[in-house]
Amino acid sequence: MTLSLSGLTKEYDGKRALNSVTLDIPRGGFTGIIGRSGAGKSTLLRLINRLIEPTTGEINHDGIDVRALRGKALRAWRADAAMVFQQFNLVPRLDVLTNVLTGTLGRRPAFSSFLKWFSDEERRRAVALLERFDLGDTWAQAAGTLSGGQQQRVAIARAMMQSPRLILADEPIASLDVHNGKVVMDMLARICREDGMTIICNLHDLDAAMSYCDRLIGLAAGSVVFDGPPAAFDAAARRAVYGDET
Amino acid sequence: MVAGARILAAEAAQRRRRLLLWIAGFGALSLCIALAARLADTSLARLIDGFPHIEGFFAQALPHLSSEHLLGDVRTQGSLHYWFYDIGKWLGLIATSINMALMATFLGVLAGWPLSFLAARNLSPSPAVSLVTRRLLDLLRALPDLVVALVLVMALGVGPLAGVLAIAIHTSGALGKLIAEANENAPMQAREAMIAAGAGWVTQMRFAIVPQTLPNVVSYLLIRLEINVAAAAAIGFVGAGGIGQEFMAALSLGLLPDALAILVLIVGLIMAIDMISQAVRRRLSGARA
Ligand SMILES: Nc1ncnc2c1ncn2[C@@H]1O[C@H](COP(=O)(O)OP(=O)(O)OP(=O)(O)O)[C@@H](O)[C@H]1O
Ligand SMILES: [Mg+2]
Repeated sequence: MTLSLSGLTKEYDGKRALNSVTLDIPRGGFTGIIGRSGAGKSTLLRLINRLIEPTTGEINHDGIDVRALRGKALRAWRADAAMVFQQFNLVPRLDVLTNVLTGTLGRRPAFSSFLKWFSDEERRRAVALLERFDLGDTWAQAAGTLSGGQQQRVAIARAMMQSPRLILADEPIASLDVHNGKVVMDMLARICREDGMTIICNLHDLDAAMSYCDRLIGLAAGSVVFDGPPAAFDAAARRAVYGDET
Repeated sequence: MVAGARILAAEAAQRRRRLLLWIAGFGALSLCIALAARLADTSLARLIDGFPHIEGFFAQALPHLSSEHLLGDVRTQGSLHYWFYDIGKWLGLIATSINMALMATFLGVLAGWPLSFLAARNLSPSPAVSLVTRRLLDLLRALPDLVVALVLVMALGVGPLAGVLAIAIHTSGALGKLIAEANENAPMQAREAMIAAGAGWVTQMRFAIVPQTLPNVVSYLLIRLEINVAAAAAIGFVGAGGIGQEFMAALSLGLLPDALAILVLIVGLIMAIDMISQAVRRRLSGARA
């Protein structure tokens, strides 16, 4: 058992975005979070990373109370729970290599970071990640000049640079065409398989969720209404998650 | 992994080149500062030496120029050179004023840039810090540099240091406010990613905001430098160093043709800086279009 959420609730001005979510997510799985727009998918991932604070509920990781973390320990947790965003969120004017190196910022001293003093070891790891995902040729290019698919792969390389325990991907392919979406999902699947990485991925493309995930969690209006393997996702489950939406 | 080694080597070479550029830049700046200090000394000495010129007290403001001797040497009455007899010293003082502007702009951005992050409403560690910093920047900007220079001349003595500090204070406020606005308008996705990766506040600013606002900051700096050259020439009027101080000295000694000659140089300087700065900014924006 690595990540366990219990009774996780998030309210905005009294309105529940997430309603008492209780989940155990074991190490190494590829979990897809599905649901209609506004169901609370992004809220869930952001709570785990602690980009936002829950109203009530608990987050535990390997016996550590994540909600209690402060300062350096909180920053280390954020590095552990790497986020990947729909809009890639790279620094467009910085080169690809530096973008990947910013994945180390959660674990290194501010002063040497400020001066861009990355160690040779960190550079070697960053270049190795770029090479591994066929991005070696782009290392000196400004990230903003890459195609969307390339940018998302750089963003995932940056996430890997964090040496994370899990990757939280919020609609990683929603801004990409079908081909690039597949390339990015393949990359996540490969990391899951080869590195044993735990992946939690918000998807509104149900087909992608069905074919890549080993477990689906369906959210509707902030509550978990489905939890099981894709094979168990039948018509009734589909109605529970998506309602009457076609 | 052979390709990896090649990338690492290329990247190391790129870093070496950038380091050299930085060192060269700082070297040039230090040289300017040293030069400004030397020139300031000699201008003060010359100011006192200037008293023997007192016999020219009632000379007319307009120089006597004659067309046949216009290009004659410094001893020929009616030549341009006779009018601008002290051109070497004046050009030196123009250089001092330019250096004063450079130093004031440098010091101003050194203080104003960090403050701009605290002032930006959406980046500041707290709304209170943002509010206080913005009021502070307003205050720095509102202080007229001539008045500040006058006070500093009394506190620190006659010379360029007072002028540099006075202009730097105003510059920090003006640049701080402008850059704060650029910071507020920078896209926030990259910063969100830095927070999510566990980066601290300073590194968030360094990696998510600075790279995105850098072109703005450079163009603000150039405009400010242009303004500051004019300010540095004028601020000498209250004894704060540079060519303006020489102008006031010539006026108070009644050397009206000298004063007029210096005024011509000041106007020429400001026009030249204006043109250079415009050309540079056009090239910069063109290069990014
Ligand atoms: N900062 C906020 N302030 C107020 N309400 C918010 C805020 N963020 C999210 N919400 C609300 O919380 C609910 C869940 O939002 P969330 O972004 O988690 O949905 P989602 O499932 O990710 O949707 P989408 O598929 O559109 O990304 C929505 O009703 C949304 O309006
Ligand atoms: Mg969302």
